[in-house]
Amino acid sequence: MLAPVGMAMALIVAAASIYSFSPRHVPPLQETRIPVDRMQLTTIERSKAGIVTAGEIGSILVSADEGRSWHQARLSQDRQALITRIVFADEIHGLALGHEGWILRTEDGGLNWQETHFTESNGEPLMSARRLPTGDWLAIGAFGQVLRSTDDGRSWSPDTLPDLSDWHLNDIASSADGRHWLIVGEAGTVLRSDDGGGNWEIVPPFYNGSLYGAAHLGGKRWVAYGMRGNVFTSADGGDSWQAARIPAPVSIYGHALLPGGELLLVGQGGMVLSSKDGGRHFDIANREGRASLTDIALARDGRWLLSSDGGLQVRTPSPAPRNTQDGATE
Amino acid sequence: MSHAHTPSRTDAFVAVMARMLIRWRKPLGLFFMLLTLGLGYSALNTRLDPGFNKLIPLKHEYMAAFLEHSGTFSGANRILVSVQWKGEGDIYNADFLPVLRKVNDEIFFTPGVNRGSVRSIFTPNVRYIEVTEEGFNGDVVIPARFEATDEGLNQVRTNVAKSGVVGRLVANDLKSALVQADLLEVSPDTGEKLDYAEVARKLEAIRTQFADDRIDIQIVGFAKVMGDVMEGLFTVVMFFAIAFVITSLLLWLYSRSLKLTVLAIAVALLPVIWLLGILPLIGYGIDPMSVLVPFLIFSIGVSHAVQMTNAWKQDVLAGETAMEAAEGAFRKLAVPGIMALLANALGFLVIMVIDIPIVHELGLTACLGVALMIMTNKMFMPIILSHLHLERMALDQPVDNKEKHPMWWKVSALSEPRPALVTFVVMLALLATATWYSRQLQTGDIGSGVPELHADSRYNRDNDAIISNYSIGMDVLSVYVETENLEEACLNWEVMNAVERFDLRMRGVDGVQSVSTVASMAKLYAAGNNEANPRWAALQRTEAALRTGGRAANPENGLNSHGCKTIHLSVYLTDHQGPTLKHVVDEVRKFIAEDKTPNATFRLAGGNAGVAIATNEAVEKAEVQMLASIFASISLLCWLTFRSWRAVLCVIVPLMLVTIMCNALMALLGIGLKVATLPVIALGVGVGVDYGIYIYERLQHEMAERGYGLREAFYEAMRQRGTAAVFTAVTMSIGVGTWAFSALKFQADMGILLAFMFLVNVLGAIFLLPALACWLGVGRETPAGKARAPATTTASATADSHTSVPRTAEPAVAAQPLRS
Repeated sequence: MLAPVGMAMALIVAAASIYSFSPRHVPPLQETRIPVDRMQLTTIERSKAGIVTAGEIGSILVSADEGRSWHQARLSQDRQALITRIVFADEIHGLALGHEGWILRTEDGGLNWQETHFTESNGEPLMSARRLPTGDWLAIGAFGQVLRSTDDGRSWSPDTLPDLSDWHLNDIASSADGRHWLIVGEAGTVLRSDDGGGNWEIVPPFYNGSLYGAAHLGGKRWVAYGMRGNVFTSADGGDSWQAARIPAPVSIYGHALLPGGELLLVGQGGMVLSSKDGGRHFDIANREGRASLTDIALARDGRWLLSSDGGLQVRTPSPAPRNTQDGATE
Repeated sequence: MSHAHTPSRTDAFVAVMARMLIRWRKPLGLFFMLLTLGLGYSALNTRLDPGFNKLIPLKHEYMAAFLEHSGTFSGANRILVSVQWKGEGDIYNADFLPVLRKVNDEIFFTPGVNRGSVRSIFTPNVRYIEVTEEGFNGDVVIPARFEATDEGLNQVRTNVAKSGVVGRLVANDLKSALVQADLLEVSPDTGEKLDYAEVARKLEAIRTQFADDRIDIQIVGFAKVMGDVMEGLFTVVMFFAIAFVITSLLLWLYSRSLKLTVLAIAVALLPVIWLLGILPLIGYGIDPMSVLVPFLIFSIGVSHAVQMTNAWKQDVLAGETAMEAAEGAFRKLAVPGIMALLANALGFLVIMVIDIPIVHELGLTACLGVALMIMTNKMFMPIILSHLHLERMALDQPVDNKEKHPMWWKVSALSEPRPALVTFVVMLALLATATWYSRQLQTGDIGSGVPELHADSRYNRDNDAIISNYSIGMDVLSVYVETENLEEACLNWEVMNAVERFDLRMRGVDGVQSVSTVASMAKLYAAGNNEANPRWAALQRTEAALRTGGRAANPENGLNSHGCKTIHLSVYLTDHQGPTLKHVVDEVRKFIAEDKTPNATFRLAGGNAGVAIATNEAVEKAEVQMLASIFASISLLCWLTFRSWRAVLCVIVPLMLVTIMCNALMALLGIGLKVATLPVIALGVGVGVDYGIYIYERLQHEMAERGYGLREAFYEAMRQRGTAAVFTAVTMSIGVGTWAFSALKFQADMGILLAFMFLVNVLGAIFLLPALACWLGVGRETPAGKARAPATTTASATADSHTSVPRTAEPAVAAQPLRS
């Protein structure tokens, strides 16, 4: 009988068409990730846990491999508020400051965070904090807010500093030995303490715009930086201030002090400025893209990890000359 | 059992019909002539009807949201004109800027343009803002007293940098600048609907006027696509002419008779004329897709006309009168012809399961055309044939039924077991290869640019240039947030925060290029109010604080409606290929399922990517449904015709093989499964089944009537119908194959695939059908079955087909190697 062969053929074709037209496999795309290169980041620091960065809607990210991969840190409360800065007092103890008076505390270098302060209604952003030599934490923020914690950041109470108006306070900085302190803020506000943060006094205004940060370069040298390319240096512990020469009029939001004494400033227009003479002259070390750089950390292999409002940027510092006039070629 | 009686009853009925047709041929002929005249007149009113909404699967849930909100967010109907400087340096020079200003002015005065929406560095709505220690400072980018001096140009350069439009209105490499404008669907002055063709012509005129060796102009936008598509439509008429000429030529070569050629062409044109006449009467128009129906109807018409004239000619050559031959041709072809046409109609009917208006119209129009063809071909044609006298040249042709046709005799060997096995081996190889490749078929469009046009068309090259020079995407997935119970949803932190979360989440999705939402804009404005300090770029909880970024919620930005009743989230995608769309939409669905916010509902989907994903889903859903229904209905039709499951298998199996091969071909050619290509399979199967039906009908007839064995019966079938089948396959493939040169990509895709289906289906019917018939035991049914057949007397002598002597023992035949 011939029919079985014919039937078999028909069945094979039928089976093939069913297989051929069964739901087709769609080539899979990559899994959804934390868009670390496309999110607002305001700060980047190093701790025992690795590199820690944070920003948009309260995301805190930790990288254990020098910025190559990132994972979310665990937060006791998800407040969806922008984190403005992370500060570490040592390898493991640190704070995260945010909008709505948000403060989080870590004891493991940034892997786990406990909320210790949050203003439920009418909260204003906190901008920075530091641990004083006494062990007290001082947190500062918008509209002249000052908060103090006497129990290593576990609880907070409002505090005041002398002669403070309601200008925003943007950052607090100290010398390496913790004796000399500077708080900088809006409208040229500068407060100074030379006794480890015990007593504070207003520095007579030398600039009418906002200062976003300050760095102590050792001895009596201070650098304070702010909007539109305004960088000032003081060689006498903050008594007198001189404008530094800046090759680009961009606002500066963060800095890093390299082991060799080189000072890097980062800011608008993807700009990284460098000074090797204690802040008197700055050159453009690198400029890329249009994002506003907010902070900088150095990876162990020398790469720059830059936080910005457009995400994490990784750059390799070029040994090329850093003069605007010369451009990239010597 | 009525098995043996039914065919004869049908035969008797057909015979009566044939006699009646010939008896009333004069009044009927007159009626058909008048009908043609009337409908021909009506056909003059056929209009072009290309609507945007016809391309949308209206019943898909995504499209409900799209139709509801697309009116509010008109960004879809935007045109972008990029003026590119090809000379040295950047655009800030005395030659370029005046040209850009002129282009800007031309677009401003183009009819249909919403003048308030025109944006370029020359328009007053584009300003730069400078934050100083004292506060804000802002002005238009190009000063009123602009002079193209070094100083003036430098001023413009820094103003543009401060205005933040680099990447949007000025290219990232500073070598080109954009003028963008939104079009008004309905003119506010006259109330008239926008004439896309007119806008497209005007834009093309701008290009011609300003483009030279230093300046290039790129234009993109829906209006330009529509313009290019409509232009492409007219080239189709040219293809029709080419197909017409080639078909006529082939017909003449085939029949050697001018009369038969003209007749076949004329009769094939009739349903086209009738169809075009009926369309305006029922309120339909021709759109870019249904413009192909006349081609198809013409091709199918030619195919059936050839079968009819062929049957008639064979009888006339055998010595019958024209009238007798016409009646005979009707008698012979009525059943297979009408069955084949019904199969065509079924093919067109089932494509209507694709829930997209343009496909519905295609199906309906084509169905109507086929129905009309049954009338013209099966009734009008015999009437004309009965009046016809063959010319000498055709009459002088050798009367080929007196001797064996050597080629067909060789082919008929395939119906013997051993050659049939070879056929099976080849088939299995093809099947395996085709099945493997067919699994790689993708749903949706493949490649970049707009899918209607070729990847290398001017439009798509412009599109590529703009995408690469600016930071703007063309593939947008819109998600709508509908808010309720809120006065000003954009001042409600919960809602805005949900939007913010969506924004952040989508930025991490593979396939997403960027996200644009009112939340990210509000954050930008909030920072802007605080000296642009990025540490202030946040949505604050209190309404008063949120208000600082409230300017972002201006409905003119296209990110939300008034009071933020609806918030428009734009997700820009890297491309609009099927896998990307599916992945991104799945991720959006996940977000919607996980993230619930009071008073806010996230709804998919709009934008061109939203339409594309809805279309892909509709197409995917329709595919299996469509294939199952076409094969089921055709199987049923075959069974009704032949009353034999063997016949059904013989006809269907080759079709299945070809269908798989068609999918494999699509995967190989990089053609996606989409609105334009899915109907092709149904059409190809519906038309391809003709060959099988025509051939098997004759085969069965020869075995039953004359008691031939399988090989002789198959040989007879091929002799009588094979040549005509091959001929029609070739002419039809050429007819639709000409579309491959269409400027419109989807027409080209359809043309290539249909040509493949038509051509390969005939090969399936010729080579695979006899092998299947052999190994399914056709012609070896139980002796009882044979005894019941009408022609038992002669059949008994030839029960063993392998040893039977050919009917006519001509020398040519004797030379054929016969098996024993």
